[in-house]
Amino acid sequence: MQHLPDETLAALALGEAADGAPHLDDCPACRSEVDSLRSTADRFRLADLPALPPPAGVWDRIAAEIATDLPADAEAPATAGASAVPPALPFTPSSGAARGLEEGAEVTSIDVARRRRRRFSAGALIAACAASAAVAASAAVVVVTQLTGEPRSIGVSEATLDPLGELGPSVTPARAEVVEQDGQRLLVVDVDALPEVDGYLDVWLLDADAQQMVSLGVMDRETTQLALPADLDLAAYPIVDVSVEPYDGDPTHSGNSVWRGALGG
Amino acid sequence: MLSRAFAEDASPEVLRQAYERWGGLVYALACRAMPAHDAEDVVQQTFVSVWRSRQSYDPASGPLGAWIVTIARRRIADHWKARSASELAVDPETLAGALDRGEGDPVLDAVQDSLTVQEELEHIGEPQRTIVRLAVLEDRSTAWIADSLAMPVGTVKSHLSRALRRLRDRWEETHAASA
Repeated sequence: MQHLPDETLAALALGEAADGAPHLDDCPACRSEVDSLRSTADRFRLADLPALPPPAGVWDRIAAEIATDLPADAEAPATAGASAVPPALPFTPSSGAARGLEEGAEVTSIDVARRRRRRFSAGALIAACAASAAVAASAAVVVVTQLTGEPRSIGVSEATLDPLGELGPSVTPARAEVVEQDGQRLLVVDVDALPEVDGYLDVWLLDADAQQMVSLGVMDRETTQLALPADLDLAAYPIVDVSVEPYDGDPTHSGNSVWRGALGG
Repeated sequence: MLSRAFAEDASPEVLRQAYERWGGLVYALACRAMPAHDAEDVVQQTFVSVWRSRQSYDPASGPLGAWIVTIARRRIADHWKARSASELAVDPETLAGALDRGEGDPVLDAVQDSLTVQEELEHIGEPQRTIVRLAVLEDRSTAWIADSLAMPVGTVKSHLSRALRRLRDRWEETHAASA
């Protein structure tokens, strides 16, 4: 008896290709193959899980930890755990980090953030300029506040973030506020509800022309706190922007913003 | 693309891109194995390990995503090892061995399966990855997939068949290794 082709067996396992089905009644070998592929598919369904954006701050901790490796690179890096991977070899001169060291640059997590400043693509730039013009035209911005209930926080400036883009109609305005806590400036972004997005939400500071930008991190809850780099000049980057970023490995701004508003105070 | 960039000149910027691409996957895997707070630590440890062992990454042996998932697997095992030593008073080596073989705790079994699936999906590449996801997870017909990917139905079926068998073989290997 001739067995069914592999493709037909796989299709049968997924509930298709009914025309091969009668053969299964007579052929234990094909039947067992279909059963086996069917349980593979079942196990695959159970094992699948959608990506979950890590909370804001995880990347900053990674960046800070790898930054501490850089000056002490001559020493063997300590890796955690018995099954740790082999220690890294010394930097080669071609490595970007090594170049930073040669120039005597201070390599910190902030350095990584600086590298992320990017220009918009032309289309996104036009959209961004139009939006920032709209922000400038609206007078409804900015009161300096003292945060109540958090004695160690001092309000520095704040912004109302207006919805924009294709998700704009489905969200309510958000608020952003710069506070100081224990000498560290934080940007606190508050939304009424996180929209469902294909990807994740990223918070940025843009310059007034929306040409330069700094990524601050992921917004994954209704109140997200993000550390501001100590030497970042807020006057140079006064616009808070929240974008939808797809998981495409591209670190630049997608051009797809959900909220935007200017800091003041 | 990212695999090659990482192998040729692994800068913090390339690591950041890898984090944006696979950080969410590692976090989801870790969350399946432990509370969210610990999972954050595992994400951090995974990417720090990725950075520190960057010289040992060989793109010829597989894509970067699969390598990162493998490292995540070790960091998750480390977490359970440390936990067993401090809280469970079980011989850490015994538990680590069980983890490597993917047996014992049902939660860990599920994690092992998730890790294996994600590793394999990273390995099989496109268009097989998309095809198998659409067919198995979204229950799309081969005709629908062929239509939306502008591909002959026969090609979709053969990709699907190969991807399913590959996944099954991989599970059988893991099982045989633990026997």
